[in-house]
Amino acid sequence: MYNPVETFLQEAEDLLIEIESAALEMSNGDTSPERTNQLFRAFHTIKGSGAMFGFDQVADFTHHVESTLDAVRSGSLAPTAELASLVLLAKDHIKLLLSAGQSGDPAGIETGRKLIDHFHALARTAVTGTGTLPETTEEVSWEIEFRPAPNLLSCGGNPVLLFRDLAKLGRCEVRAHLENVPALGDIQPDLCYLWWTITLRTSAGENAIRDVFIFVEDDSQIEIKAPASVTTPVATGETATPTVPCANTRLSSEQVSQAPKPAAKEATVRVPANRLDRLVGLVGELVMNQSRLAQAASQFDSAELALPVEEIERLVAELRDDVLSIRMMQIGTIFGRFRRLVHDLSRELGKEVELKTEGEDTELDKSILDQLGEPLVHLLRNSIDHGIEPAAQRVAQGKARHGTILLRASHTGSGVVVTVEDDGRGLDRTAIQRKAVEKGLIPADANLTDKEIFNLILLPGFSTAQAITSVSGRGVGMDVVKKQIDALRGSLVLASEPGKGTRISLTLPLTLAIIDGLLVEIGSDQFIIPMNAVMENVELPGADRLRGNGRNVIAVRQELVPYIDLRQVFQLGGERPPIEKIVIVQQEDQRVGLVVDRVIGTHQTVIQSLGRFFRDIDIVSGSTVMGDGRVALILDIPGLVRRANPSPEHSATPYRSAA
Amino acid sequence: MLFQIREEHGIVRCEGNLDIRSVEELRTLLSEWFVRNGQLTLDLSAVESCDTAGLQLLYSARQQIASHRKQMAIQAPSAVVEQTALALGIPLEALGLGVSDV
Repeated sequence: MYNPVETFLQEAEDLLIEIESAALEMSNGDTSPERTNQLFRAFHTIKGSGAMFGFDQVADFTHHVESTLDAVRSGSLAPTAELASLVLLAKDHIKLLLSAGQSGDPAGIETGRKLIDHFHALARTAVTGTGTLPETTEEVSWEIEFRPAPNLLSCGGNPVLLFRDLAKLGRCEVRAHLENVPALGDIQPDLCYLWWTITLRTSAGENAIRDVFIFVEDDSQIEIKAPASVTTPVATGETATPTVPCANTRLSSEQVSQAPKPAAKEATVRVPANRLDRLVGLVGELVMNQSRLAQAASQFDSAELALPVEEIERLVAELRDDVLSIRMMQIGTIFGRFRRLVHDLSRELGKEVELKTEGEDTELDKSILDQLGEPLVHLLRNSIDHGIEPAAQRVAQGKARHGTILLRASHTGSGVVVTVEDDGRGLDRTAIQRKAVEKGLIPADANLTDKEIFNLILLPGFSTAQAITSVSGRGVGMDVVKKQIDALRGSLVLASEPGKGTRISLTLPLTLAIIDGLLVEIGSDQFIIPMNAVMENVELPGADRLRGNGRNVIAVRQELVPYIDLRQVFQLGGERPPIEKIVIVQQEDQRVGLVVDRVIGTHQTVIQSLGRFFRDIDIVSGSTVMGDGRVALILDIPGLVRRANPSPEHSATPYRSAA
Repeated sequence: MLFQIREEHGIVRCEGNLDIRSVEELRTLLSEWFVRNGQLTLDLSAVESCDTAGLQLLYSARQQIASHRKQMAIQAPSAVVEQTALALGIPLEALGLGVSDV
């Protein structure tokens, strides 16, 4: 059922995201009027809607922020980084108040009051010393042309109320233009065909006039013509003097009109995520049943049956792609919150760090994006805390004062690669090796490559932090990041160069709902191996198996590859064929063979979860129902590779070191 | 109260809210009326509230009669109708308030 409060909270959430992004831009030196206007509008909307839905504490608090921003708009207060930081804190506070509900948060009153004091203190530093200034002192005449969007009335807009608000600013003459109103036979009576010209005589400035139209300005055309007395050439701000009324407002009006108009909002519909999940589930079942239907139809030699079945197959495939694309979201939606994280953390640690992002429009399934935030936060924290050096140290090394973290997303084959790259000190090879020996993870005399040593930090409980800070030392290590990426059927690769920086690349599938797989068979049981892990297929003649003396390794082009006998793993009976097949899969840097009876071919399938009773099984990630009704298990490659190398030493030191 | 339309002795009487919620109903009635009849008297004395969409529809009806040689008179508009027209800057004459059109 429609709940207006719920809608307000969702809209407020969007506005808070917008506020955060605009405040960060301001903090980075964007002092343009449109940035201030954007912030003002967002707070103004939250205030108005908050009061309407009973969030009085939110409305009261927001009013003070809005007043400060109004002082910036009128030019009496500068848009500084200090103000931006306060705005960010205000945004956090509003978020807390909103989550406390309409009754408010008694604990938040004190925090709110302190923040308001900060805003007032800042306002006192304003040019005039009063904080908020009227924009003009003389009464002048403004010409306003208001051409509303056709859907103004059906969206709840009410010109009568707008004109009443204008009349509060001064003497107001409204003239309606009726020439666009069609006759009765052609009119769509809920559309607005009228437009207006308004003459307003007021001492309030342009911003006050614009504020009246704040809720309709996105879709309507509003032209506010400056008073005739100031249209005399006043080219720049320097020539503006107090003797020319509205000089500074005219200037800001020009700046605003020159600013690019915000892009029209795309028509979107909010749908609860669980409805989409259900839709995807239903499409999954449809795909499986269509596949069974196709198999059944193939047993009848009937063109009448075959044609519609083929058509259904095409339509179902199209439907599946469309439904899955609905769940695709741009990765930029989570990049936004990292800017705040980097801003706050770098201040906390006294470092200068800039976050650059690339590929924000890269799309990933929502379920993956939801689970990607946490590992990325951890990687960014690590980069800022351990990677980027303090500014003085960087300068001494001939580097730029600012450390840079590049967060980049791009498509690659059937997946997406997300990299977190910093230009910090890089991983300390010696420290990692020493720590690993101390912890008994590797023998003291182990001869490991750089890559093998770097991979040690992915082992559980590994941490080289010299001091526990509030940033790291939270008991969550890189092993957890790796586990989270594994759970997303992704992989993590580390690269680092001393003094130059560290790059961590996460490769992720586009979606968790369908999988491109290789269908294999053992006896009468079928399994699906994710295609992105498959490297090649080789044969395993019985003689070769015997030659291995039970060591389960095979030589593939002079390289020894360990293999796992799936018949043994799944405890399947039956006769082995004389020549078995080995599907060689690669998980990160390690190649492992999977022994099966037959390789059937590629198979795109919808993944069905195994349910919570089977959640501890780490070698199977899901299942799918085949066309003939049989269930095929989808193999979990990281889990199987772990099984091939059960001890952490072996997972860090690949097979050839152990052999 | 909601919007109601009554026809009595050739007079169409509107009662209640002449606004965006009722304009479609009134448009249908007026369109059908002009197909059947050449003359309309609209009694707006019982209109309790009205908005831009309501007045816009009255103006649209005036456009219709102008092009179809019909007659329309608006009788005794309530104060709220006149106040809304003034607030919106629509001249009362443009709506034919209190005058008969031929």
